Amino acid sequence: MDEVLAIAQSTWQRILKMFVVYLLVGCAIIEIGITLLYDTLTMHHHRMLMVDLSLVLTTMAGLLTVLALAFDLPREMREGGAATLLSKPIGRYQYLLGKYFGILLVSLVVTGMIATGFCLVHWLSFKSLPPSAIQGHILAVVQVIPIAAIGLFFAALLSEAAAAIMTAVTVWIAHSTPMLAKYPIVYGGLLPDLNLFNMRAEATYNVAINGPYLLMVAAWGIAYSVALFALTALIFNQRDLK
Amino acid sequence: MDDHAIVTEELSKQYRGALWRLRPEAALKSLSLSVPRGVVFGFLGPNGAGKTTTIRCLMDLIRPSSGNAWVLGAPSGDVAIRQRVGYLPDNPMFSPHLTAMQFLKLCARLLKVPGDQRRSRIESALKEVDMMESASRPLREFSRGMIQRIGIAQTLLNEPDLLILDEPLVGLDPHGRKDLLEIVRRQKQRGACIFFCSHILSDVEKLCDQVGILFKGRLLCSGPLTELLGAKGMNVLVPAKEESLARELMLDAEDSHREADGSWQLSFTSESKVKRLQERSWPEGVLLQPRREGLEELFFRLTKQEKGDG
Repeated sequence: MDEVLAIAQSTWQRILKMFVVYLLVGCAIIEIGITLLYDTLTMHHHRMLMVDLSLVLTTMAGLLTVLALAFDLPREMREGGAATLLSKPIGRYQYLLGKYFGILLVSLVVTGMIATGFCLVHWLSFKSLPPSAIQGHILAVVQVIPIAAIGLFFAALLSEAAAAIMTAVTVWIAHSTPMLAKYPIVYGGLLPDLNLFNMRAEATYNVAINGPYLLMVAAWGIAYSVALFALTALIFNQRDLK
Repeated sequence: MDDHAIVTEELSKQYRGALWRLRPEAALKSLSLSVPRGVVFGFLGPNGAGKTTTIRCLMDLIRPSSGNAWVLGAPSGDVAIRQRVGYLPDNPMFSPHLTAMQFLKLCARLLKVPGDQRRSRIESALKEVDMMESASRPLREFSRGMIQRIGIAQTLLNEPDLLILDEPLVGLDPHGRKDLLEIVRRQKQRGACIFFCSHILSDVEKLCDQVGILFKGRLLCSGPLTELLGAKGMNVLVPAKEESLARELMLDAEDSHREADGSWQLSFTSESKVKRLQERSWPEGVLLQPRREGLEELFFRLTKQEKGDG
């Protein structure tokens, strides 16, 4: 397990040294705060706008952080850094697991910071924090678990640009699953149903989400990620490395 | 197999080309090689011969199309055996965001070096490659030669039984080259086997006990240098005062050069010429010596021959 943590720590260090990560968090929180200025324009519905925008930004930040992995892993393989690490007594699945945990940790921290920033701004502005908004943000943060697995899958198989494009496109399609409902193989089958994590309507209109649903969705996200990771490890194990 | 550091048996690797290329490209063709423990083995071959492919198969970074490979008695895919192996990749590039110290700590951790020994091992490896002063600098600021030195340092952390070095001399300045040759000597004295490929044949000849020459994926020869570089032809040493004789012999000689003291050394390799030289009577001071083939000569002879056959 120490090997996995060592790789995860290295990935964490690498991504935390990217200035764009801090810029992303800072901009997101400022943007959430700015919604307060839309009081008149939204006819006093600026609280709903704030919740909605915060959930969108949390999801986007999760995706963008995962895209950093989509660039990092193929580059490390292309430049030979991965070969150096894999020449040590570490299995390929351990290496992948370390990469996954590293990026997952960064994504959770980034999305968690945006969600916390939202809670803080909302509390300071309205002196209250509706449970549905918190639940919605929890799911938006948990959503990075399958998104990171999707990013890892493409990053382990494709070049930097192709992996980033495929990850972004897959996440976009996975959020459009209701549109794809008529294609049963795709819907809830090969593609993840990330729409399950989308609680924007409930959170915006302050409709409580029941606890078991939250747990079921989180469990589904973890199960899908485990299955996709197993497939990624299986394919990566057969791959020739530079 | 246990008395060998490396064994390959009919090892072949074919790279699948692009979709429009119908035939896969064979990088290795039935390579059978054995490297005893405790020797310095030079793995030679022109560019594209399959040296790096062989090394990557040994490190399980690429999967052979057929055949088997064993490292220190274990199949090459055995993860645990890599704890006893040090590997320097060709053209190394390490995590640029880490400092040299952080990178070596990561490697030591992956190599399962006990926590209380990590610092001392890292410092000792850094001293070996003369990089102690740059330990806290990020790797992205390093030159090619400095990266190569750090690459060498990470191979020494686990005090390996087998060192596999892919082109270790590339990028090193004359000091670095000298240091590396010293490191190899010290590792050999420690009992480690060193398997390395290099294009600098003079260094290989000085350093290696055994060599293998690879050409277009096929092993042309392999074995102890003393056996491979046997007697071949005759050298005639002509003193400076016999200049007219030297000039006469030069017409037939395959190679000739003048020493600092003015004497001449003429080399003859063909059997008929050697026979004629032996039958001839010589003035006083002329010396006939059996000629030993150099590694460079062996390399060019074998690869040229293969090119001709091809």
